[in-house]
Amino acid sequence: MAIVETKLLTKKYNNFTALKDLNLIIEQGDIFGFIGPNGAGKTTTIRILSTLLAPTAGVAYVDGIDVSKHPYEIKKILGYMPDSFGVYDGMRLREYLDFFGAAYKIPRAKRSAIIDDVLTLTDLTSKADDFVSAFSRGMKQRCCLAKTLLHDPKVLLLDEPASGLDPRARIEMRELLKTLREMGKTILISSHILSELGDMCNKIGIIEHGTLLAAGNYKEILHSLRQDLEVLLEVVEGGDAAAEILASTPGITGVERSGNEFRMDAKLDRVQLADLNTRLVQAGVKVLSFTQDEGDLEDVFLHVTKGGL
Amino acid sequence: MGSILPSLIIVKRELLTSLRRTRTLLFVVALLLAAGSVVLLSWPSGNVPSTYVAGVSKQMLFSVSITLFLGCILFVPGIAAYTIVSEREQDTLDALYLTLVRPSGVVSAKVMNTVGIYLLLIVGTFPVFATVMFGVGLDWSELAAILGLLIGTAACCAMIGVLCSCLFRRTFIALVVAYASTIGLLCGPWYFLLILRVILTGQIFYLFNYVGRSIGRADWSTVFSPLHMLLGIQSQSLSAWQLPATLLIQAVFCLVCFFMSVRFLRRPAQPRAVSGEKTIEDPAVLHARRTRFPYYLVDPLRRKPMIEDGKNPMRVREVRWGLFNRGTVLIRIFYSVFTVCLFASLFLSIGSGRSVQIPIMTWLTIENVLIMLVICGLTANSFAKEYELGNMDMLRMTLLRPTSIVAGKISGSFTSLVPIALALAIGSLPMAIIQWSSAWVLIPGFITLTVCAALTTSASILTSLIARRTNAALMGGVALSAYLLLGNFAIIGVGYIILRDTWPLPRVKEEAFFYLSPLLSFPAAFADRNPHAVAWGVTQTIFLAIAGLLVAATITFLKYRRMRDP
Ligand SMILES: Nc1ncnc2c1ncn2[C@@H]1O[C@H](COP(=O)(O)OP(=O)(O)O)[C@@H](O)[C@H]1O
Ligand SMILES: [Mg+2]
Repeated sequence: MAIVETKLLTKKYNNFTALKDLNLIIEQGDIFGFIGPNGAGKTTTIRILSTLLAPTAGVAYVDGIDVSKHPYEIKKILGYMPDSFGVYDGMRLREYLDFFGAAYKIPRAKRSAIIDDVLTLTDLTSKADDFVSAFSRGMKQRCCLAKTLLHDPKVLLLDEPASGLDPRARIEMRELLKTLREMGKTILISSHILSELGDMCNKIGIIEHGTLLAAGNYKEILHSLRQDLEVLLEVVEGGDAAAEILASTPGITGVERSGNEFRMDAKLDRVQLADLNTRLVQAGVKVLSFTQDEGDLEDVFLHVTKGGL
Repeated sequence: MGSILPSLIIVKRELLTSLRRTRTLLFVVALLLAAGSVVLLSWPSGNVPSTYVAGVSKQMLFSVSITLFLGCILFVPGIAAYTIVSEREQDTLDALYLTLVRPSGVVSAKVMNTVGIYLLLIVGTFPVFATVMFGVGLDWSELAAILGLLIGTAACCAMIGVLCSCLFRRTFIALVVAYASTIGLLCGPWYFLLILRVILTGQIFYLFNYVGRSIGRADWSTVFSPLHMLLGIQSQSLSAWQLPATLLIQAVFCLVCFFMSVRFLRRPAQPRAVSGEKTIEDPAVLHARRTRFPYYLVDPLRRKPMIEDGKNPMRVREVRWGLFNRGTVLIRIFYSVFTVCLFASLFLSIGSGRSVQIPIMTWLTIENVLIMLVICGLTANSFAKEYELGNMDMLRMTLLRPTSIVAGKISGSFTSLVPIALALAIGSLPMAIIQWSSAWVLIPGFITLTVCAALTTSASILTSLIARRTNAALMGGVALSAYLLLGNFAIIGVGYIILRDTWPLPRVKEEAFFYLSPLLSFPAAFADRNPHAVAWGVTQTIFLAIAGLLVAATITFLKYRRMRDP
């Protein structure tokens, strides 16, 4: 079931079209990576979904509710973490969460336990009595996420949660998102770095100039986007037989051999690749590994998005 | 001098960017239109004797230069105070440090830029000067004196602003201090004298007569007050030494400010200290602290209770973490206001031999003006701060309705006023006791105070929401509140006096104009032997309704505002 859905969503700032006929579908339980270069329209989409911005045309639904028509209902089920946000001066973390908890109409009796929960989840328990404005960037991100989780939203919209974080904080953020996924939340994460999202999303959408270039299963997308797929083959025995088979297979070009390792460009789909593997094995080649080269995600990204704003 | 030359680059950059902004352009166009309409309105119709034309032309020159002067006081300190502190807040000041431009270059660039914008405004009013020239032929020395005085004053205001901008780390504080010191230093001595005279001789009605009468005097105190000098030029009642003295004082003042600014600009920026104190859990320690001076009412280190159900969280936040959070500020404010108020009221009621009614009214009116300034300072950044901190989106994403957000902000700022109001009320008691028979005047006085406070609060909260930037919010808030409190009276009343002979509407008694102002309707109504309570009541009711409309406008605005990305 689609929990987030947009139909022909368009947003114009004066004459500039930031979003053009965007059709986005996110299923319940998805971790959706929303990827695009700066200025692609990610923040604009997320802000429309979170009722902060009115679309010029088109509709957006979250959990079947029209975003423009029932903003109040949407706020109850949605958690939004903006890409840039501030914190209140002179408030301690627990007080800060208490304020937002009260603003989300969480009864006082329950609030304390909920605050403890989100503090544990975001690993901030030891900072509960510190001033929020003294936090480091990574801690502020977690604090904002804690605030976002207070009312136990079904859908989380996180706008570039990992930007500006050092590697350690990035890993912590990633762990946190995994935990949230296990809790069954639907999450939309935006980023301008593909590899940052790769291993935690099951779906991705690539957006540029306000248009969705591709969306769907992470692996499939990568594959369909790769024009020249690099395949690595390592064999233990029968290297020469393998070389022959490779040479006779249409779609395989540029084979480089060094000892028992082969590297080649393959214009094949997944099924054809699997067939190739079978033929190799049937010809008595002892295959040690037969893999796609996953390394160059950024190349794919650069290739798909033409660049320029 | 060498250090000032490279700064011309910055002047050029800044002046160009500010000119490119539509806001500045609109401002100049608005000014041109206003100046043009003054010319048109006061243009004598039909056959009139030439002496009359001369009178009108002079009158016009007078009102335009006064307007320019007030414009200078209202806008120049704000623009100047914003310059450096904003670069510091946006972290672009370091980049400027790294270039070869010296601190003195930075400071002079900022000052010249601000004064440059102001000069542009003066240029915008040239139609008026031209008309005056047609009308009577212009006395060049008079024009030069007026322009010199205006530019000197603008330079002083700009220097005060830049000095505050160098001194403080927060835009808001820089702005408030800049305005306070501008008013204090430029108008202070003369106003103080004026107010004292009005109080001691009795009646606020004749304020304008006092202005007129005090112009003639070659008082030493007047050379400190550019406004007074401006009036003096107008009435040609200055001694030869006075204007040069004023210009000299202004030049010295500017130089002193300049060197101080350069000094403070050099000071390395320190990150703002965040107090890392933990809350105190031990009841014994808390109890011990409670007996010490500022902590007996609020202790910032006491753990705050969780926000109760059914209370407006926004209001609780504003009160607990707003002014009250600065721990003991409010208590100190209470005592200082109380002390000042007590002495002033004692002085007033003993000093004036006659009925205490007049001093009570005068005092309440002064109080009123002061409270208005405080309110503008307190509330102008209520929303602007949320925007600047980047909290606005998060606030809008909560389940708080716009009504409760606005209500929370308003009641929060009213609550912060309670100590001040309390101090004023208690401080006024001796006055009431000394002259018991006139004490009832305090009741309509405090009602007026409340209405004016409501008006100012709602006006500055609305501008805060619209403006998004603290400096714009503060300037807008002060301007809108000043207009609501005094503007109609000033515009229509002064227009009536200027156009006395060509007034298009039915003639009225001049006293009636006081009822266009909620602030002045109080002394106007109750100074008489038989008070005009009904007229006063009508005025207060109308302005209370206007305050309500402003609040409604704020809520609507918050509801429907679609926000741009920063
Ligand atoms: N308030 C605005 N006014 C005009 N243009 C805007 C505004 N907000 C965003 N844009 C433009 O819309 C485009 C998309 O912006 P955004 O959604 O913030 O991109 P992203 O988050 O993907 O970096 C950008 O080119 C940006 O310049
Ligand atoms: Mg963005």
